[in-house]
Order: sequence, then C-alpha cells, then structure tokens
Amino acid sequence: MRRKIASILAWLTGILVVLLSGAFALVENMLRK
Amino acid sequence: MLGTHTARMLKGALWIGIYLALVAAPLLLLLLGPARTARGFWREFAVALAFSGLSMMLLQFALTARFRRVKAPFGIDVVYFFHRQISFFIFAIIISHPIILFTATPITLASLSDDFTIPLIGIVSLPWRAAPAMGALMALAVIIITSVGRERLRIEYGRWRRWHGILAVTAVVLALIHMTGAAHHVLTPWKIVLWPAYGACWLGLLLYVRVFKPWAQLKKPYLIEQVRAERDRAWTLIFRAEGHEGIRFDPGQFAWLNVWNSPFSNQEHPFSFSSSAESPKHLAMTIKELGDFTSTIGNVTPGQIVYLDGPYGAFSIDRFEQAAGYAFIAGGIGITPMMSMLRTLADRGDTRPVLLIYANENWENVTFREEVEGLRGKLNLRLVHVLRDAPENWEGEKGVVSEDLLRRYLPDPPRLYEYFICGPPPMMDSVENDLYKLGIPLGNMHSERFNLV
Repeated sequence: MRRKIASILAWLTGILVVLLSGAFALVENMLRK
Repeated sequence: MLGTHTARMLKGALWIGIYLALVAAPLLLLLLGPARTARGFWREFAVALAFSGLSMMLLQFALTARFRRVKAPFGIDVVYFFHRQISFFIFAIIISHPIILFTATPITLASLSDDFTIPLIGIVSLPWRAAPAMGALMALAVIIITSVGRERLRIEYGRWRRWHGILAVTAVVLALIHMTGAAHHVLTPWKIVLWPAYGACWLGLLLYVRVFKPWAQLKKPYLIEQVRAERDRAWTLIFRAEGHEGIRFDPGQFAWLNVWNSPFSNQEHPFSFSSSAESPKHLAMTIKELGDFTSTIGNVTPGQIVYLDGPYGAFSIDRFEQAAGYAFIAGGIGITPMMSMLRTLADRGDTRPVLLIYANENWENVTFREEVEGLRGKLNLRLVHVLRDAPENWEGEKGVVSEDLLRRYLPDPPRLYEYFICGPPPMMDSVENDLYKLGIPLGNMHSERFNLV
C-alpha cells in the first residue's frame, strides 16, 4: 500500500516537474521579450 | 488532540510539500529579477528540466540520509523505494535536456560553440562544458544499471554501496561544473547565490552522513553478549548498550548493523530486531547466512563491539495499537520481525487474538520452532505451521500459503485484524494478492521487504 502511494507520488513529481519546466519556459520567454 | 494516524498523515504531507517546494524552488527563484534575453521556448524548457533534475539529484542524498524525523511518517523502506522510483524520472528529465537541445534547437546549439570545443563523434563540435555533462549522464546511467541489476550482475552489496555513493557525488559535481559553464542563469547578479547555496547544503548533508552520524555511532557502541546458533543456518546476536542508554524501538523495526568495521567505513547492513521492545537494554538480531556478509556472522564473538544506526521502519504493531487482533504471515527468516512483535506482545501481557502462519521448507529448519511453540502459553496465539516438504506423519498444513489456506484461518470478518507479511518476495506477492481477494483492505496489509536494492 505504502509502496503504491510512493510510486504514484514519484509519477506525480515527474509530471509536475515537466509542467513546471514548461511553465518556466513560457513565462521566461514572455518576461524577457 | 490529533490522533496518531492523523498526525502521521499531516507530517507526511508536510515533508512531501517540502520536497516538492525544494524541487520547484530553483525555477521559481530564477524567474525573479532581471535576466539576460529570452532564448526561445525549447531552449528554456530544456534548461528548466536540467535545473529541476539537478535539484532532484541533490535531494536524492537527503532521501537516503536517514533523518529519523523525516522517515517516521512513511517508514524508511518506502522512502528508499521512492528514492529508487524517482531516480528513473530524474534520468529521463536530465537526458531530455541534451535531446531537446540537439533536436529542437540545432541552430542555437551551433552558436553555443566557443573557442574550447570538443568533437562529438566527429560530427559536431561542442563547448568544453559538454564533457562534464556527458560524464554526469554516464555516471547516472551506471548508477541506474547497477542498482536495478545488482543481483543479476552479481555485485556484492558493500561494493555496490561504495560505488553508488562515489558515482552519485561524481554526477552531481560534474553537473554543477557543466551548469556553471553554461552561466546564463547562474551568473546574473543575485542569482549567483542560488546554486552555491544548494551546493553548500549538499556538502553539509554529505558531512552529516559521512562524518557526524558515524561519529555519533562511535560514541554509542554495543557489546556482544552472546552469539546463538538457531535452526536453518541463522544466528542470533544478543548485545547491550555499552556506556549509554541504548535505543528504544518499536517491535518489528530494524537497524543498520556494523559488525566488522569502524562506523566511518559505511560497511553496514539492515536487520530486524528479534528481541522484545520491552527490554531495550538487551537487543537481539537474528540473521540467516544468505550472502557474503551474513555468512561471517557466526564468527562474531562475545565481547566484540558493534555499531547500530536505527531504529527505522514502519512494520510494527505499535502503529496499529487499536487493532482487534494481529495476523502474522511469515516465510523462513521473515519470522524475525514477527518474533520481536510476538515477544513484545507476550511481555506486555496482551490478550488480543494473534494468528501466526509460518511457512518453511521442512520441520527441522523452522527457526525459533521451540520458542514459537512456547508462546502459545503466553499469548492468545493460533499457530499454523506450513511445510513444503512435510514429514510422513505430519498432520499440519502442507505446501505453500494459499488463498484456500488463508480463508480457513482468517477471522470473521477478516478486516478486523492488521496483517503483517514478511518472507521471500514471491511468497509476499502471492499472499498480498490472496489477502486482497479475501477482502482485506490494502491499508490493513503491512509488508516488510528488505530488497532495497
């Protein structure tokens, strides 16, 4: 059970990092034009 | 006042929040303040992935630093499991960085080259900083291959652990050199403090793990009082705290044991306590001869000094004090943490029903056979031996722990109990599945798996 939750958390963290990086790239380009 | 369970959940959520905040912090901080000109979406995306990947790499060290306060809400085994799972994502994120740069921004990449270039496969020239980047990637790849395939590659645990640490430090140092070389997000006025601060925290963490913790262990030695041979090539080490209070542990927990070396050597192995948590002055661990290190346990002599780092683990009846009863399902030496829980329940005079299903190859190899039988008189214990290779006159259960066998012994309704499972991995998998089919909620099943790597 705890391992399943840890596995889900790892997936969510991975997805979050990709989304955050995308958001960073968008904002960075908007801010620095 | 909050219940123990709720408090544990809240603490767990807090640590997860801190982890995610630390992963995201570099990106959020880099958005603040002035920066150089924008360089297009894909290049910034690739850089952002690398920054997040690097902060996750640094956090990998924190996950295995064994901060007891951090581990407590989850159990250390699951934190190590997360460390392992997230490493695949880290590798994917880090390798996406050059892939995106190579494929999405080839023109920009060409403009990156400066006077100090290195040839890559004779096709393109890259700036010098590509060399540490490739080194870091290779180190990460080796870390993952040797961790996933340690047993198949027949790498001894101690050697693997040593190289795991060396390669991880190498990967981080090379990645930091690469990032400093890129300079775009590093050398703008106040952002200059971000990565040195992360680096300083990381160095502090290394010092804590490699110097402070071993030093604390050195000051708290344990003296071996007795080495007892058990059935099935197992040995029980009985030791006491020498010149200090010792540790209090929850029954079922484990600790890292260092038998032959200085605590600074990092030559330690995790084992469950087999003694009662009610007698913390005299601790015991029962270890079966299974590998290079465990086959030396029989050579330990009374009077020898050993060192402990612990206790750790969430595999304990003390996390489920309100249970109506407990069911222990053990295979072979998986009985060790169960023995600690059974002995503790007996010492506490607990009258709740306890079911022990204990699977073994044959009757002669049943570790703690006599003592488990003796516990019937001290506990409200139903004991079920299951033998794969049963003698002719055997009237008990034969074969393996099956769904049918479990159905016959489980209480009605089965969800009344908390279930503890420890044994060989295939047995644990099948018992977990069978219990689930029999209606046991996942939250009532607790497994101890020592195959951290």
